[in-house]
Amino acid sequence: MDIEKTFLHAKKSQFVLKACFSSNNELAVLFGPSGAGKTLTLHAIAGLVKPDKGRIAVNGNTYFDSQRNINLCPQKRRVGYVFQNYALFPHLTVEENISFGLKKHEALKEMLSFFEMEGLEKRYPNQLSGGQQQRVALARALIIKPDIMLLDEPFSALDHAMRMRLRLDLKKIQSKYGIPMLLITHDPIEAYTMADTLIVYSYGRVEQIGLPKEVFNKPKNRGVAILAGINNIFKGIVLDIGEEEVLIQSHEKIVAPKISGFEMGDEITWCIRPDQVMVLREDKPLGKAVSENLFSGKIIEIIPKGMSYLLFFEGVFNLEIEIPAHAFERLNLEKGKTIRVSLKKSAIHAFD
Amino acid sequence: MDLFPLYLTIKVSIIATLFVAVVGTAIAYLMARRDFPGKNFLDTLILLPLVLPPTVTGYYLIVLFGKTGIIGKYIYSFTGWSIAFTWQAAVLASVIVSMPFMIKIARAAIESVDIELEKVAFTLGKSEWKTLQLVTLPLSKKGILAGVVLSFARATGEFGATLMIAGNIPGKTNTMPIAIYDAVSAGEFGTANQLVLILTFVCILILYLTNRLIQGRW
Repeated sequence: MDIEKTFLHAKKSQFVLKACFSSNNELAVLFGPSGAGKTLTLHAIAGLVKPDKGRIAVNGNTYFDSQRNINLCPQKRRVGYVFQNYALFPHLTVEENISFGLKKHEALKEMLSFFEMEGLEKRYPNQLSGGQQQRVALARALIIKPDIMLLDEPFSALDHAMRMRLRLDLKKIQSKYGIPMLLITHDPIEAYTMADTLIVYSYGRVEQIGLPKEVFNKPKNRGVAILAGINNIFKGIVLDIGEEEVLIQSHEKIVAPKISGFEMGDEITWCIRPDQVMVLREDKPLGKAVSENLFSGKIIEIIPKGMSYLLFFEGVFNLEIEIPAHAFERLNLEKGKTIRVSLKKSAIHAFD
Repeated sequence: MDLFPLYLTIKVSIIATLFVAVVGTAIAYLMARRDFPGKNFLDTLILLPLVLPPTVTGYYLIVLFGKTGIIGKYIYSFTGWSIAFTWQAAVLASVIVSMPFMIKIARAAIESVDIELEKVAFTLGKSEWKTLQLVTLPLSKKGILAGVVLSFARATGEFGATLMIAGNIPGKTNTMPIAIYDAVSAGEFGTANQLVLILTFVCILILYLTNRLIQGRW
C-alpha cells in the first residue's frame, strides 16, 4: 500500500488536507483529533471524494493520479469500507447485507462462520446488538476480497469487552486473509496497541509516521507529544554538549541524551512520558540509572486510573506522573506528601 | 345517469399519476442527490403551481401549449393536432398541478435516506442506478407512495387548470369536478348530489386501499 495525496477541500470550508504517507504493514492506524481529516482521507482512498491533485495507489493498483488523469470510480476500486455507524442496509437481512456486494453467494457461509454469526441470517439490523452489527459490516466489506480494508473509528461505539473482541477479529482477518487495513482512531491506547504503523494526523497534515513505540516515546513535536498523552513538556536552552549527553537549562539543569542538530545556546523543548518519571524510595540507596535529574516536590492531586494512578507533582517542574497501582501502594503515597522523583536521562526526549 | 365524467376522471387521474410518479421521482432524486446549475430555479418553477391559482396555471398552459401557443404552434404545424380541448389536456393540467406534491414529498423521503448507505453500495461495486434500485428507492418507498397518493387525489380534484386548457366539452373533457360545477350552475342538485357522492366514495376507497398497501409492506 502506498498513498500520497494532496488536496484542497475548499468548496465551503477552508480546510486543506495535505497527506502523504505510505505503509507496507498489515495494519496502519490514522491517529489524530477529530477534524484532522482522517475520515476525509478514507473517503479519498475509497473514491467518495476527489482530491485536487496527488496520487493514490493500493496494492500496486493506481486508484487516483492527477498527473496521469486517473480517477477510478468507487465501484472499480477494491476497497472494503466499514463506516463509523456501520451503515447497514436497514431493509435487508443479515445475509442480504453481507452478500450485497457479491454476484454469487458462495462465500456467505464462510463469512457467517468466520464471524460466528450462524443463526442470525434472517435477522434485520435493528434486531442485532452493536457488536453484531459491526461484524455484519466487517463481513460485508471483507466478502468482496478487497485490496484494503478501511475502518472508520471501529472502536468508538463499543464497550470494553467488545473492543477486545474486535481486536481479536481484526487480527484474525489479518492472519487468515492477509488484507492490509487502515483504521482511524482518536484513542491513544487503541492507536498504540493496534498499529503496526502509526500515522499521526493533525489539522489535515501528517505530523509523524512510525512504529507506535517510536511515536509515543519520541514525538516529533509538541502537538504529537500532547496527542500521545505527554503533558510534561518544557522549554530550555542547550548549555553544554558532551560526548553522550547534553545539558539543558530549564528551570533547573537537566541531563538529556545526545541529540544532533543543536548547538550551544539553541532553544530546545524536551518532554518525558508520565509513566517514565520514577518516584524514589527513600529507604533504599539510589541505583545508578535513577541518579540523574533528581527533584523533590509535593503531590498536589491524585487521580486513580484503574490499574494505575496519576499524580500531579509540584516542584521545580510541575509534572504528571503515572505510577502502577502496586508501586503506589508500596510507596504509601498520598496527597500533600513530599517525594523525590528522577527524570531518567534515557527517558528524556528533546525536539525543537 | 351519464357516467362519462367518472370514467374520464379516473382515466385522466391514473394516467397523470403514473406519469407524475415516474418523472416526479426522477426529478426528486436529482434534486436530492445532485448539484447542477439552475437547481434553485427549477425548484421554484416546480413549486409554482402550488401557489398560483389553478386558473393562472391553466392560462400559462394555454400560452404554452394552445394552438397558437409558444410550443403548441410548432406541434400544430408539424402534426396538425393541438392538445387544447382534448382529454390529453386534462392529463397535462393534472400532471402540472400534482407534480409539486410528488416532488416535494419524494425529495424529502429520498433526502432522509442516509447517504452513507449509498456510499457503501458504491464501494461494494454497485452502480448509481443499481444503488437507486436496491437501496434508495426501497428505503424511501413510503414517502414516494405517499406522494403518489396525494398526487392522485390532487389530479382527481383538478378543476381550474383543466377548465382553462381542456375546456368543458360534454362527452369529451367534462371531468367529475367540472360536471359537478355544471350541474350546480344549472340548478340540477339531484345530479350534483349523485356525482359528489360517487366522487367522494371513489376517493375514500382509493385512499383507504393505498394506506393499507403502505402499512402492509415495509
